[in-house]
Amino acid sequence: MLQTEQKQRDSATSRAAREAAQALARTVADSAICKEFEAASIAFRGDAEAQKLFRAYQSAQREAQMMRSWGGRDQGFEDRFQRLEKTLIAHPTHKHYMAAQEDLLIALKDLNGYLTGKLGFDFADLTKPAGGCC
Amino acid sequence: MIDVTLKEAADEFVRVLAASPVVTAFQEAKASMESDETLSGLRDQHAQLVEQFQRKQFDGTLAQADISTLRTLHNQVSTHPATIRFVESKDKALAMLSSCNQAMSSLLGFDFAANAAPAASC
Repeated sequence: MLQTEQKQRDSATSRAAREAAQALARTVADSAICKEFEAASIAFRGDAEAQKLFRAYQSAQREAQMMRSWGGRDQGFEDRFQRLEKTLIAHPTHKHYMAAQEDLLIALKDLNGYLTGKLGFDFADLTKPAGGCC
Repeated sequence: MIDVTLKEAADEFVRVLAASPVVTAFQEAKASMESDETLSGLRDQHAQLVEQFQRKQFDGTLAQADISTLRTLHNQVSTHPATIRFVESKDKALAMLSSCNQAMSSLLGFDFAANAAPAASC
């Protein structure tokens, strides 16, 4: 009987915590920074020129990694890769997307810092998916 | 710097979590582990030994005695009552906290914790 009551209390607390977490997430989603990121992301995905550049950059990046892994070096390729990287970084839609992403990440880290200060433990660090080091 | 609306939602989330026995048990266990002087000394000693261990491993002077010393110290840290209490309470709290992160992440469309956590150090 006592165990059942305890389980019901735990379940009610967990539900309340999830609801409060969802309310917090909704506030984040409604924030100007998050809206800006969404808009920048849609613009980036919808910009054919930026997407073409991005795919070319990803492909060249994979090739560069492969080349480095077997110790190969092709100055012509390296030059082309660097030019491609510079072009992508300077592309206005990509630039805006990267800046919006950076702003959002800073805001998320600030929020987590606030939660950490109040809770006495790092909420995000504790609950982030487990991953390999580097 | 977070705005007032976000701060209010964050405060409510913290208030609800602080009302949960599993979270308070974890907070207490963490505080007592961090303030335990004996354990703190053992952990400092362990960190120093790990550093020495790696250096010796690198320059080829590592001996069986070093391995035994490190193993003994590691055992002392992990079987210390404050460590055990911390680990057990963390496991219990983690289930609830992770479900909160999942609730946030599914609404946001990206993993909140993965993006908000401090950069990993290796």
